Amino acid sequence: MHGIRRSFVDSTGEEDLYEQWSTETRQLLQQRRALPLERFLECSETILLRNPEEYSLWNRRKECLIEWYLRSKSLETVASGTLVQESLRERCETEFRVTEGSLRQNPKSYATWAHRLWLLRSAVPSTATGPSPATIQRGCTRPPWTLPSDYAVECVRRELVLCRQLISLDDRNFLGWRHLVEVLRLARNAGLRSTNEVATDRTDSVDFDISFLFRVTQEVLNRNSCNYTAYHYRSVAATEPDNKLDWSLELDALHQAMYTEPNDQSVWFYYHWLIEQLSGSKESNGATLRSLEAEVQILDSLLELEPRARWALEAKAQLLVYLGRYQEAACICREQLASIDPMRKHMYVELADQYSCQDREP
Amino acid sequence: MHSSSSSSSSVPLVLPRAQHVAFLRQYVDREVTELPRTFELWFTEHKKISAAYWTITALALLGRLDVVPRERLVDWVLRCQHPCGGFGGDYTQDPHLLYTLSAVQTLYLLGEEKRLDKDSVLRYVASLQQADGSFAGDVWGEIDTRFCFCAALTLALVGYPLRCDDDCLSIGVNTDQRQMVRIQALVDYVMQCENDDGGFGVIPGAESHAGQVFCCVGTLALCGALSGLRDRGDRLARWLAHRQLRNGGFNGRPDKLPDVCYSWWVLASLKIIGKEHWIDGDALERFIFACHARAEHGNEYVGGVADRPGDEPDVFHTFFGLAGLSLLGRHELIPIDPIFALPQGTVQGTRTRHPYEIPSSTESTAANGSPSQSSE
Repeated sequence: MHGIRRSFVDSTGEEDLYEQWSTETRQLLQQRRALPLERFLECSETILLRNPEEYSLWNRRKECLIEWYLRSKSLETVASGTLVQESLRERCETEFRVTEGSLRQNPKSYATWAHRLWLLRSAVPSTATGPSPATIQRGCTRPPWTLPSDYAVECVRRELVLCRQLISLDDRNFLGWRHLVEVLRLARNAGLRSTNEVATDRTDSVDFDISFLFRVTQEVLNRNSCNYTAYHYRSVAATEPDNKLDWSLELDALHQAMYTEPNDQSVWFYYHWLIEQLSGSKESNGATLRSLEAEVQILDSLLELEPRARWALEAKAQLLVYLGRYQEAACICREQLASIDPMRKHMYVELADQYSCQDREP
Repeated sequence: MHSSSSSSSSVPLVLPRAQHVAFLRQYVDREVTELPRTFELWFTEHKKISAAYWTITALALLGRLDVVPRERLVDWVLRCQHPCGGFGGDYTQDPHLLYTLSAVQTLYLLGEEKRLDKDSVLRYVASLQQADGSFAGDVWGEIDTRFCFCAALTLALVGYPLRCDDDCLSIGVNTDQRQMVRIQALVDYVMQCENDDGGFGVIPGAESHAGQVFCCVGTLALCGALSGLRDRGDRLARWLAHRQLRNGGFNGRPDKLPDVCYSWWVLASLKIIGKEHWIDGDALERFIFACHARAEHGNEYVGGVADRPGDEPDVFHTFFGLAGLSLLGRHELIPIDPIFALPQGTVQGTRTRHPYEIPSSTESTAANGSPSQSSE
């Protein structure tokens, strides 16, 4: 299994435990549509904390919520309307609590993240007609209710804080990062705005826009400048309309990381991306060319210290291609990279051929 | 041959066929209702149908489908289908695209597709396509590029034509239940998940991940849309080639540990875009053997493959290890198809209905006159 060391130890007690757990899960699955709501919610919580990937149990929890909601709605009077809203809030809070418990044990559980996101979709107002009592088992991609906007703001805020926290525990958790991006999009679609900008100091505040994604990447990179995921999301955030990225500052910070960590590919990925943006300011005006030339010089001085730094060589070849110096780029691939990195020899030789060929084209 | 690795040279490169078959038989010889007594079996109970697919495909690659209790297995698979057409991970579980694909793959592998109600499967898959072209995994709306691939491959297997030019083909015999699959919208959605590094993520904007790359490239290949890849696929191939680490294994993302399952996700993706020679096959082979389970005392292989050297073997990694070796064309394993993830023989008929083009080598390198294949 993933990351389970081979132990050669006969653990008899454990075997019985799996049998027992499995018996409980199977029984609950079989009875899931017959049990009273509260009983099912209680039993499934225990089982889902053991194995959060038992997806049909999460599904049944959704059905239970919808059943309860439709029933309450149908009985609702003007006077009881607020009561329904309050109980809805309580029931949602239960789901947030259970899923959070599950994620703290198993931050890579697809089914748990999906359950949470399903709940959160009710933050976005919808005009679609929801399910009827007869069609609940046919499912729905979002709950049939819309959360009141003050509660929705609270939920989004909690979500962003949770993502930031889980990312600080495992800064490569791709489901956590994905959730963060989804929640920011959702907040934008719902037109939700953070209400607490004035309330607390900067480090604690949470903005519902792309600046929050930037901030999380910055926090991660401050701890460790080698993080492919953080650089990726930085590049994504930078292409959003309201980005606040200062390109020359980005490059300066990166030059330092390139010197301290010449063998870390995450730094070089982001460097490739930045020089592509730089060269993409397509007018190929004098200023662009001069900055690309300057980058070549920076790499040359790095390569004087570390002549076999393959990421630096790859980056230099790429820069030379942008500058139209195809033969030099081909030469780096064929003469240097193919021997420094023999596992990918065929790749470098093929790229070299391509570059040489581009040179012959008008 | 290049001797490019410092990895353990003591690993004998002889496939323990009998031991692997014995290891896999433990899984097929169980009654499906038998209670699990290991962590692996307990943890994978909800996706038993995928575990069945991994087990029997691994046996098929070893040429030993004869040990599979065919009748019992097919009856159970069919029992997992719901009236909506989708399959659950077991008959107690809700329908989902992941398990629908595993079920359909299993039935085709066993040559029992006649017993499948194809129309209901088509309707189920079609019903999960969203407005933006993506596919939800089930009726609750989880979105992930894995489900795009599950949808595309399921459609391909049951014979639905995946051509971008014929948009909005209708399916289903009954006009009341006519459903559309919008192939061009699917392709457009997958292309939205392409990143600047050439890879693909779970949703638009998400970080590249080798598993998602395989799903996206597989979907594009089935839809005949590989030509849309950046730099004719070179950018992606480069990202994939850099997944190979010094010990020969592949990781799924930069700066992560290697894992045998990426032997499949990465190598199959490279093969689909015609760049499998951009990595070191010998080194990968050594890594896969290093992940073979060994006896406690002594060095001999006991059957089964783990995620990495020294870990507990399981059926998932045994399948991906054997599939990787099969893609490398070694040890006389039955050749596996890089998109369908089934023996080539099983999908031959289906393949001719879905001819996908491989760009790159023929186009980009033929143009500059250099042979793309390895010159060893």
